Amino acid sequence: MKVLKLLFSALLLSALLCGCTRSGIGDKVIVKAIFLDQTDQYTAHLLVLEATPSADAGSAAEVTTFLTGKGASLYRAIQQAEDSTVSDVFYGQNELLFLGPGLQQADLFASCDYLAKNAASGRPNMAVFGIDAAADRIPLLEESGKDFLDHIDQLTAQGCYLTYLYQMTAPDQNAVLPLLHLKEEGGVQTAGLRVYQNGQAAGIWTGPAVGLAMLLSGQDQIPPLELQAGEEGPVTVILRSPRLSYECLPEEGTLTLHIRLTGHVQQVLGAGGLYQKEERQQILEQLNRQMETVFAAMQPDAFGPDWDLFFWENRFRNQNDALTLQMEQEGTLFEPVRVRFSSRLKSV
Amino acid sequence: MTERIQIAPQQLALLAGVSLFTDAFIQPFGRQSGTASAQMGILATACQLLIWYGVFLLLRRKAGSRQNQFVCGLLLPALLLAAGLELIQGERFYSYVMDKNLAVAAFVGIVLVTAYYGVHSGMNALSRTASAILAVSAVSVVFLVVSVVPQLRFTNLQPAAPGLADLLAALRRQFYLPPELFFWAFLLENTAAPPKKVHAPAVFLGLLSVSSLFFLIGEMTLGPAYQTQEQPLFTIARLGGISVFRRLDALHASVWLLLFLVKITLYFAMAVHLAQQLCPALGGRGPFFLVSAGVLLVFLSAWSQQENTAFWLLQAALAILLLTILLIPKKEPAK
Repeated sequence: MKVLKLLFSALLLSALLCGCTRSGIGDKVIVKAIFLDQTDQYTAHLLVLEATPSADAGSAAEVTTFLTGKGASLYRAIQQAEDSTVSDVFYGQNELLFLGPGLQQADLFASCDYLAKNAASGRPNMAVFGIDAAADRIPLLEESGKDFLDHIDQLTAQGCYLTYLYQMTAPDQNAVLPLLHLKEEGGVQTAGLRVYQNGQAAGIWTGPAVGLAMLLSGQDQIPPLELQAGEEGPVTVILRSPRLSYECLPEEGTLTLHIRLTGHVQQVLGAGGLYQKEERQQILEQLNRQMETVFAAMQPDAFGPDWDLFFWENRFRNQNDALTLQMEQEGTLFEPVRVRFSSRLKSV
Repeated sequence: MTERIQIAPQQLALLAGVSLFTDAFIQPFGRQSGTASAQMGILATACQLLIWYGVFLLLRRKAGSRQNQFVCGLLLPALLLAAGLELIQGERFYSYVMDKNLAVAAFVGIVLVTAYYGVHSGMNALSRTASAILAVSAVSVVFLVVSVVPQLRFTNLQPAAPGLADLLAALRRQFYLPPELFFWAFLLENTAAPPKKVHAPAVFLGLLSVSSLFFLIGEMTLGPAYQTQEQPLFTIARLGGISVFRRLDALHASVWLLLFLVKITLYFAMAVHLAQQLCPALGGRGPFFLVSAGVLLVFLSAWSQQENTAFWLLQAALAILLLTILLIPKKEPAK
């Protein structure tokens, strides 16, 4: 009984320590997304839900609004945004971070690092996106804020490349940033992936490279791929259970990493409609070759002397650490032939 | 330590273990050990625990009643330093994890009240509380691992050829002497019949297992970003979720703060006991207030200013104490 009393006392004390009794939900605004950009100064827009709770569920309401702040530093911009409301700004449910065009070109990693270290506003599991809308366009979303959030939910449910804030804080500053295009009517669509090497923007991957990048990063729910089927023209390919298998093999005193794409082509949609099974079989070889071509184009951006976006070097070193270091010193590790990709998709 | 604390060896081992476990959950802010890869971190931790075990065995062999007054005289200021640093550490972690938090004075006040209650309840009550909190911590660890399973990637593990120079560098970065080894050994030896079985191997093996697990899930989840985290375990806790529960980090932090409360209460309990030995004239609550004053003095002097200096003073005091115990022969038992 005494032990129970001690335990309850300690638990009660820890509850008192959490500060959760200071304000009710009606006094809080819940941040659902953070937009940041930099032109001549930093701009922060916090997309917040203002709740008006009620015991009658029918009359409870929530309204989206933007809290905006500008400043010479990110801290000041966010602080000004928070100070623009009398309510408590609650970041606990925020899982979205959007970076504007200015920030994508400069100070991207420093900003992400600041957010990651700021335990209040930066949750490490925030999904980070680059958005093509400048800071002054963002407040126009105020009335359609909930629709915007719903669009983002739909995108992630259908499958899009996800990069989290903690991944942007790696010391090597190599990262893949998913890009979004903000439409005039407030919807969003994916716009490719921007590749960063040593903190600098190095290129953009679009089309099937996005799906392949998702598989290489371990995300298996990929969106339909837009491929060319030779004379048939562009087709949309839906894969079922795509997966990559890795095998690092010693070859003539070096190591070669073999990456194999397997899975099934479930649907092919072309200009003439849905392809039947025989038609899918006919274009299968072209689809496989095209995936290999896409990989070959991505490879230099993904694997180089100072960048390794998908941790292929770890696979080499797990096979033979000494040989990998030797290859790295000789400069042969990053030759294109050291990583061989083959596509073995089959038709359902 | 002429007046003995009556506590069973397994309860004492539990208390010492919980106190040492706390550092695995709450990384000391000033002494980041996360700069090494998981592989190097695990090896360095294993070496550190081997050294701790060796120090513990030496202390048990050499400790005895002849050194009592000197040991009390040196261990008490060391414990005050340790408790002050632990209070700074706890307050900093609390501020780090909480969005809205209490003023520092309120936090310190609550810790002192908890320590007062724990000290005057006795070591046996404290050990029973520690066992309950340890069980809750184990549940927290299980939930933590389950919540990050979808994000674990073997390819995130940084391969590192474990050279001796790298291992020594990692060990040098993270090694420290904890006061727990000293009062654990002395409490065991200052009994009428020092026990043979003290459960120390189980405690150190448990520490190694838990530390290794944390290193592995940390690096498998965060990859290269693991090495830049101030509190990697808390970062992982914030990442994970189970079903619709996304804010499990709040629960984890609450449990880990309970561990901190047990640890600091233990430091206070030992410091009060030593103060009673050194100043028998002080009765009643006098030793507790004296210890509290000392801890507050360390807290106010070192907080955000001289923490590194206070830490190295503590290490120096413990090292001198260790050397002195090794040099002063143990009193032979009367024939």
